[in-house]
Order: sequence, then C-alpha cells, then structure tokens
Amino acid sequence: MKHALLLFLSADRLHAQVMSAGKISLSRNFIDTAEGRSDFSAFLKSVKCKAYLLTDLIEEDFRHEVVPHLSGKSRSALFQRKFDQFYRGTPFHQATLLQRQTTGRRDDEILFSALTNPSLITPWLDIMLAMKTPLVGIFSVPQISSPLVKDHPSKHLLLISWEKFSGLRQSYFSDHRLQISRLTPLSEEQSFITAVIKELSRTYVYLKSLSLLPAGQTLDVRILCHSNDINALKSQLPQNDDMRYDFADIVSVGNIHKIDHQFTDSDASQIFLHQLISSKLKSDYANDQHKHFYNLWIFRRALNWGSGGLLLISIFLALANVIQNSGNDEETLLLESQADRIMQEVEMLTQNLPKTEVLPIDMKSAVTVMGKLDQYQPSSITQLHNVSTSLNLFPKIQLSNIDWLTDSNEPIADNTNAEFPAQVITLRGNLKGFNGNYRDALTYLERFQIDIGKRGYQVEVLSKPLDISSSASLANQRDTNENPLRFTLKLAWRPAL
Amino acid sequence: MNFSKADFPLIRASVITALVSVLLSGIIVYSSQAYSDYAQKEFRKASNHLNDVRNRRNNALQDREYLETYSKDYESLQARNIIGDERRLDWMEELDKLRRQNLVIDFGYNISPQSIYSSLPTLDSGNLNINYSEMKLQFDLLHEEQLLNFLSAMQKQVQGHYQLKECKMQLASTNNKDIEDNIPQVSVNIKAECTGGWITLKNRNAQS
Repeated sequence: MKHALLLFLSADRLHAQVMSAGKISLSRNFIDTAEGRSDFSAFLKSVKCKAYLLTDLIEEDFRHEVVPHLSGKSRSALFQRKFDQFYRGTPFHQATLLQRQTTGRRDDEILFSALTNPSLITPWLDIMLAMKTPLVGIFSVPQISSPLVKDHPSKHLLLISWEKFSGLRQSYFSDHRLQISRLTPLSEEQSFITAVIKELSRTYVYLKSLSLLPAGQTLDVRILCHSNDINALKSQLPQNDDMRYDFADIVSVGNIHKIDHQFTDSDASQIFLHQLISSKLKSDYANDQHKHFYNLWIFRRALNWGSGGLLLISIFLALANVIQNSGNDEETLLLESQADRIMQEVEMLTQNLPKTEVLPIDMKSAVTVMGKLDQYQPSSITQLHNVSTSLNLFPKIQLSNIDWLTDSNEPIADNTNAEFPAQVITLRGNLKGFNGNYRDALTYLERFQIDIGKRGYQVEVLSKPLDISSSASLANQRDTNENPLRFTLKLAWRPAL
Repeated sequence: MNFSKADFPLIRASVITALVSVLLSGIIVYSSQAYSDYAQKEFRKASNHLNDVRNRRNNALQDREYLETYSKDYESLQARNIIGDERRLDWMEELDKLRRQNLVIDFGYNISPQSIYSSLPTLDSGNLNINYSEMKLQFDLLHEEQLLNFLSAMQKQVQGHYQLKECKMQLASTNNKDIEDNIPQVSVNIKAECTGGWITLKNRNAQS
C-alpha cells in the first residue's frame, strides 16, 4: 500500500494519520468541535487517498441471534428486519456470521452489531462525503481484534487493550469469535494498571451474569501492554483459578506486524490502526452510500490500470510483430537480390537463344510425336520379309491372303512393350503335296508355327487344315486332291522390352 | 454501485485516459498488424517473384536444350512438309511421279477429308494438333514385293508422312486379258488394299 489515510474516532476526537509506504507521514488530531471539523475539512483537501475509519466508542452494541440459514434476497430481508428491530435509529450496523449450527435445522449463529450513536460519526462522515474522500469502510476496534487472539489456544478469552483517546477496551471471544466488548473511558488521573485491575473483575462478573462463561471455566485474559507495565500488572492482578493471564508485549506485537512506530506506553491505537490495512476485513458498518466515492476510486483505478495494461499489451504485441517481421524484411531483401541476379541470367540466356518462329517446346512436341509415330509403324517391309524368310523354309505352304494391320487392342504378350500397338499379320493359305497324309501336314504346319514363333511373333491358329480336337466333328475325306488343307494363322508382334 | 452525472467529473480523467488508451492500443495493434501484413505480403511477393524468375530461368535453359536437341529434326520435319497445312496437290503430283515409275501394275488412291488423328496409345502432342488425312490405296500386283517396293518408294519420294495402318493382299482369281482390244495385259497375281493417312502437325494457335 502506498498511501492511505487512517482515522481513529473516539468519543471526543478524531485522530488522522497518513501512511506512506508503511510509515506515518502526517499525523493530526481534530477535536469534536466546529473548529475541529473545519480543520478536518481543510485537512482532507490536501489528502487525496483512500481512507479507513476506525471507531472506538462506548455506543457499540452486540447481539447474538440464531436465524434460519437463508441466502440471497431472503437473507438480506431477514437481516434488514433484524436491523429495523434492534437498531432502527442508526445506519451503522452489520451482521457477522459466527458459525452454522451442526445439529437441528443447522441454523446460523449471527452477531448483529451497530454503532448506536450515529451523531458521533455522522459529522465526520459528512465532511468526508462532502470532500469526496474514498472511504474504504467504517470499522470498530472489537471487530479488528480477532487477529490478535487467533494464536491463543483458549476457548474463553478476554482481550484487554488501552487506547489513549478512548479508554480501556475489553473484548470477549468464545472459540475465537467475538461475543461482546466493553469500553471504559479512563479519567486523566486513572492509570492503565489500576483501570485494568478494577475493570477486569467487573467484566468477569458481567460475563458470569450473562452465562457467557460456563461455571467452573477459567477465563484466559490476554493483556496488550508495554513491557514496562507487565511486571506491575503481574504483581497486582488477583491470582486465583478464575482467571489466567497472558501478557502480549505491545513492542513485540508491533514488530511482528512490522509497525513502524515507537511504542512508549501501552497505547494500542497504532496496533489497531495497522490492523485496518494489514487485515482483510470482510464486513464493516459503512453502507454503499458511505462507500460511494471509494467505489468510484476503485473504478477509476481499474480504468487506469486497465488503460495502462491495454497499452502495455498492445505495445508488446506490436513489438512482437515488428521483431517477428524484421526477419521477414531481411529475407525479402535477400530474395529480391537473388531474383535480380537470376533475372540477369535469364536475360543473358534469352539474348543468346536464336530467334525461331515456333517455341522450342513445340519443336520438341513435333519431333517427339513424329518419333513415336515412326515407332508405331515399324517397317512393313521388315515384317513381311520376316514372314517371307520363314515361308521360304516351308515351300508346301501356299498363301492366298496376307492381311497386315496395327492394332492397339491386341493382348499384350510377356516381355513386350505395351506402349506400342501390335503389328498383326493374318495368313490364309493351304498345304500342298501331302496326298491325304494329315499327320504329316499338321506336323508341317506346327513346325512353321514354331519357326515363326522363334522370330518374335505370337502365333495363334485361327483355323487348322483338320480339326482333330475332341470338341470338333470329323468326317472322312474322299478325294484329298480336291480338298485343300486350308488354314488361318494370326501372328502378333510388339517390340521387346 | 450507482453512478450519477455528478460523479462523472471524478472519473472523467480516467475515462478519457481509458478511451485514449483504447484508441492508442487500437492504432498500435492495427499499425503493427498492417506492418506485419505488409512485410508478409512483400515476403510472399518476393518469394513468388523469385519462383517465377527461377521458372523463367529453367524455361530458358530448357528452351536452349530443346533448341540444341530438336531444332535439326524439326527443320527436317518442316522440309518434309509435315509442319503446317497439308499439301494435297504436292501429294497428287508426287504420286503421279510414282505411277510413271511402274513400280506396280496399277494403283489407285482416295484421300478423305482431314480430321484430328486419334491414336492408341494416346500421344501427348503439347500445343500441336495432329491432323490426319486418310488415304486408301488399291494395288494390282505381280508379286507381293512390288507392294513393299511401292510403299518404300512412297515414304522416300513423297514429301510428308504417310502413317500406314493396314494392308490386305489377296491372290487374284484369274489372269486378266482384254480380249476385245486384243492387247496382251500384264498378269495381275495379287490384289492389295492399304489404309493409312497423311500426318501433318499444326500449332493450335496458328491461324488457318
């Protein structure tokens, strides 16, 4: 916390101190008079930070109530009814949940409390509202005492402290939860030690009468005081089984809470004032109207932080973008220089190329296409020569027809190139000079097939001179001379792979 | 928390700061994004330009290679009248020259209208149309070698490319004699018919 205005309100005065970085930078006291209030108003003009108001007044009332466990609007309505019932005349009230019962309906145990004399607070509060001081809340000394007893193991504990401007404060805690609190103003002649001795016994009787302290229960008493007073208190306090004492050295407590203040007596005002800013207090006596300027202050700070954050994020994003893309810039320059160099190369190449009417790619296409077509059309002379050469070896074969064509649909034989269409030659002819010797004629034709096959042709017999297969019909031939032995062969050729 | 008009002066500076901050942040982010977009766009542009230039270099190198490899063959195709429009009159004149050489007993031909050549397997002809003018040849032959000799002579002497598809040869049934004229005729032993076509290549973009 950088700056905060801490206000301590007692019955007859208002103590104000400005905290800067944990230290008191300015301290003033204002008497509850017209002049004092006027001074306070002038003082607030120069102080522009959030303010905490701590009250230490006799007129603070506490009531225990067990109420049904409710939530939301029902709970608020119930509490409002209770406030109207108990504290109709004051706007400074609050309800604190002590615990939820574990049996029965599991009702809530609530501590209703209020500052019952608003006339002590309102004048100062009106000035703060008029000066638009951001008021964090209105707190009371008993409320903020809890952190000072939370380390004590006792279930029934009385905390005694002395505030110079208000008096002797005695707050009773059961299970570390505030039950009641009393403030006894001290006269100027009365010392802290005598007041403690006198008021402690009264309080013990009071607690007994309210049945807050069970019968036979020892009351633990923690006294917040300066080390100078501890010995005197030890020697003068009554020693019996009813009470057990524990002395909290105010200097040690101040050190624990890192309070930058020189404690010279048992005045615990600074301890409680520091509790305001070091403890996270959940509830207080101020309502929304009292905190209006504080809410505005929070809103303003949120806006300021949000604005700063937004600017920072956008700057960060922008920087990230710039850093990320600075590499791109360098690469772009590199690419451009590379492109320029290659472009010069291209221009040189283009200038050196001879001028042609057609594109080189078209030249390539033309030459390639014609090359393919040449390959698709192997020399018919070669094909027919092959056949002729073979036929010369078989003079008993007489051809009547030779058909030659290129056919892409011809089945592709093993080890031949499928990219080329097949050259298909169909031979029709007959066998002469066998004088009815079919066996020799068929053997002769088979030898021709084998020979032509060796020259790279796939040979298919379309018709034989005599079909001697089991599926064919067969009849005797009366005059072999008048019945030529006709046959048809299909030869297919593709270039080898 | 309820706000009223009276509260505005208290938060005015913060509201203005917030608005300015939003505006500035918007400008900063937008500017940096614009810069980023611009830088990336320039990078992509440079990258595309480089790729384009590389392609042009590759194309130029390829053109040089193609010219070195194919220009002579292409000139040869041009010399053979394979490139460009077909030359039917030249074919007719050159076939007549062949007739006068008496390579076969007799032959006739029939050239059909030009069409686009469809081959199997399909040929990738790039930017060229493969035009095809089918020509059927009928022959009267003394023996089969005459046909082979004729086809060989046609490939050599006629400027163009004749793509032969099919030939059928058949023994003639009888010897022909014109009895009325009492002129002895050469004996026709074989009848043949061949089918093929003249191939010409033409650029698709060239005007006909």
